[in-house]
Amino acid sequence: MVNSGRKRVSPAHRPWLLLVLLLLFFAALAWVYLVPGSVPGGLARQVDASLVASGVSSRVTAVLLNFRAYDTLLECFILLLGVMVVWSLRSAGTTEPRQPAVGAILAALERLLLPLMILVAGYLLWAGSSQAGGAFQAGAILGGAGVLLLLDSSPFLDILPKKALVWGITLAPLFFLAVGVAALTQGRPFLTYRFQEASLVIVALEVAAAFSIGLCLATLFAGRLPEYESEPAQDKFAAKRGE
Amino acid sequence: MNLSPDSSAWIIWPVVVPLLGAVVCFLYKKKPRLAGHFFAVVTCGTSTVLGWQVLSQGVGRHLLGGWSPPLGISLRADGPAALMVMMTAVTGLGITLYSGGYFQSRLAGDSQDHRFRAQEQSFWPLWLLLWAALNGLFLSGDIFNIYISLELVALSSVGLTVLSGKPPSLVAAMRYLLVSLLGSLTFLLGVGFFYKAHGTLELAVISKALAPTPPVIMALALVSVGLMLKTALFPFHFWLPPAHANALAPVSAILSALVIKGSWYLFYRFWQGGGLLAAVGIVPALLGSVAIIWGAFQAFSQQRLKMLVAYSTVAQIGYLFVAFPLLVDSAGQGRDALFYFAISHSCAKAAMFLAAGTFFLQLGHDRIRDLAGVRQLLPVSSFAFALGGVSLMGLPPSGGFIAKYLLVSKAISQDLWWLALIAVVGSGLTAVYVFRAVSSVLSPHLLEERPLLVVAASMQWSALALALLAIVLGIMAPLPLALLEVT
Amino acid sequence: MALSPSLLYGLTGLMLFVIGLAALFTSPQLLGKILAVNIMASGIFLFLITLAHGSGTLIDPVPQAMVLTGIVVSVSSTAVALALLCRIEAAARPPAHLPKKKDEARQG
Repeated sequence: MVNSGRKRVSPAHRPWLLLVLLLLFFAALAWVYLVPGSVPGGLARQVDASLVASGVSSRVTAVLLNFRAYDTLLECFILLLGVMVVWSLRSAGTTEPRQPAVGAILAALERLLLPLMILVAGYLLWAGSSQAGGAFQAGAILGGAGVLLLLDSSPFLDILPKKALVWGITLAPLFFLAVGVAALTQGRPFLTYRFQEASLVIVALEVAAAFSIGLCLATLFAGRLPEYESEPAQDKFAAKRGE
Repeated sequence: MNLSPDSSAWIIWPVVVPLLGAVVCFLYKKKPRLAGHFFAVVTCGTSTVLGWQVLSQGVGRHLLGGWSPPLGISLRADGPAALMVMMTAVTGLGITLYSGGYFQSRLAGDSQDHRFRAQEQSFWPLWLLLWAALNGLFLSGDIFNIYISLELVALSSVGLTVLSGKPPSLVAAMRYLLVSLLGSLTFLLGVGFFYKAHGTLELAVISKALAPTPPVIMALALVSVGLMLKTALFPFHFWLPPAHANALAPVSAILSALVIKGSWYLFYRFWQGGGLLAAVGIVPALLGSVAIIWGAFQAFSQQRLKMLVAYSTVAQIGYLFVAFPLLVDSAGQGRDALFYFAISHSCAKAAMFLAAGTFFLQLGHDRIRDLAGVRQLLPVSSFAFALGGVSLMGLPPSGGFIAKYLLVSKAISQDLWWLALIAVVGSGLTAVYVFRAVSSVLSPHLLEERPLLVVAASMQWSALALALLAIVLGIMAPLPLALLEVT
Repeated sequence: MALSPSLLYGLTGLMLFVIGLAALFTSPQLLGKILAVNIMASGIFLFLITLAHGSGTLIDPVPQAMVLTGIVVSVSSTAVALALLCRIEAAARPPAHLPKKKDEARQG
């Protein structure tokens, strides 16, 4: 490939040129950012006007799980997609065994923190409907708890029944789709909630999303298939056969 | 609740069905091929319903969650969107049938190999998710939602690229991923500036109100560069050939025929308003012209068939951009030319990549000079490859001919002679490299090598069906053009 | 024009984006490039957050929601990039793995 190196080589040879170009770029960005213009003012007013109908009193949660719930649905699918790709990358038996390097500090930390983390996650989930917090914050903390367990080389991803892990990861995407399709079958647009059910549906979606996000994050951190899935290395044949 | 009367449910199904299919294929690992075929056929059906509805009832809108923009997200199915969904459906169905045969042949050749089984298990959910993301991209009316869809497309494409597992494909996939992320982030920064300037994320509002104020120009520039990176327009094409050529056969076809069309279509969406097109529409046209010439020369100098076809994609992407100055006046012929290039390239390129993949599977290599005689082993695939080449060259009566005819006549009517000249020269150059490949494929030389494995019939015939469609597109031109008129 | 904290954050975000871009072009290692992309993403998120404070007292929740979604997208793509990097590293040096296995076998 004659052209492939073009983009990489030239900046390395002429760092000052790159520097000047990037500074110019930054200057342009900053100028455009600072230039006073008519400020349209975003969507704060619209959100406030429809907040009562959304079923929750937290504005961010209302945006995430009601006004723009379709974004959140796709986002759950992005996490699922990440797990799919990471698993497919690691299914060829390239996983190296993990060193069990458990320090006393980590073990103590884990004992102290894990219950607290699960508690905080639950609180964030509950707080999300009225103030800062919600499914993603809770999911992130659950994921953190999972990471802590994995650091301790606790094989919880391996002990967990395979079916449970896979269903747990797909719980949020499936539940979102089910809610959306249920609305469609009743003649409403996709992902529309009835007013009297909105709060309940949003809380249920949040719980499912937090759970799946936490599990996805821990699985992504592990970066591999659970042990029982790994096949005996067959790469020798595979390499010979090409494609 | 703001329940709106114009919420047509048929718009959302082409997104929901493949999403559901992806999850089912992910959960149900025993027979992913069966589930994959089922959901591909249903997706194709729902896409056809969408195309038919748009053709008969006009533009449809679906307000997700019952909230109208700018608060909520809307899906909008107009003529161009419906045409792209239909293109994805038809090409996607062909690729799906091919993939079924492809994995079946490889597993039958070596049933002990867990690797092929794992490849197939990963392929079906990724492919359906990619399909859903593309449909979502074509229909979405909200620029932040488009960003998420773009990321879905990018990640699933990378996932499909790495399936082959060969080191070159891994490195190519890494480069593809980094370029893709750079493109998405640039796009996202542009989204931020658009939101700052307009206070809304609705695409229709933004593309209509492209005023030449600094924030809008910056936003449009960022979005355009991000999308050009993802579409691999010259000079951002460097990542495409290795990624497309080193992937599995069906994946090469998916990437070349469909994935690049997603970001290209968005580029059209942002520029279609035309406000700034008169001033700077020349830039994509110039880059496209260079891409046509450069891609053709690169294609000609390749030793491997799949690399040749991949560089031909670089050249054909040029055609997708040269017609942008023609969009300025509203007669619609420039738009027709653009979209005709997109759909005929989709069918022709899928057919060529699928046929090239069949050669590779049968011979174990795709060196162009050693392909002589392959037509005896694979007559149908060879014919499909040649027919795809005919459409790329733009010989009548193929779809490629209609596209070039529309482009050249429109360019001449606007006194853009150089544009017409580029199109004609590009055709000549395409003919040169296509002849080089086709003459090798069709030469009556006797092949000494024995075929590696038995190729399923569906692999040969699905490629031929797509190639024939690329030709037939020239004859049935009124139908897609009528669909494009719905805006 | 007075430089409010919000504007300062916005400029910092844009600066981070440009710094990430520079690192993406110049970093010789793939890991460096992945980190560079992450820095770019963080810069954009910071920039988006400042848009929430654009108009007076009302805080706009839409950019905040966009950032939350963007973070998850970025986490997922980073995970894919890192897994791909591990796979490339593993494929790049099989000789280093082979003797190791032999040693292990001897010890076992």
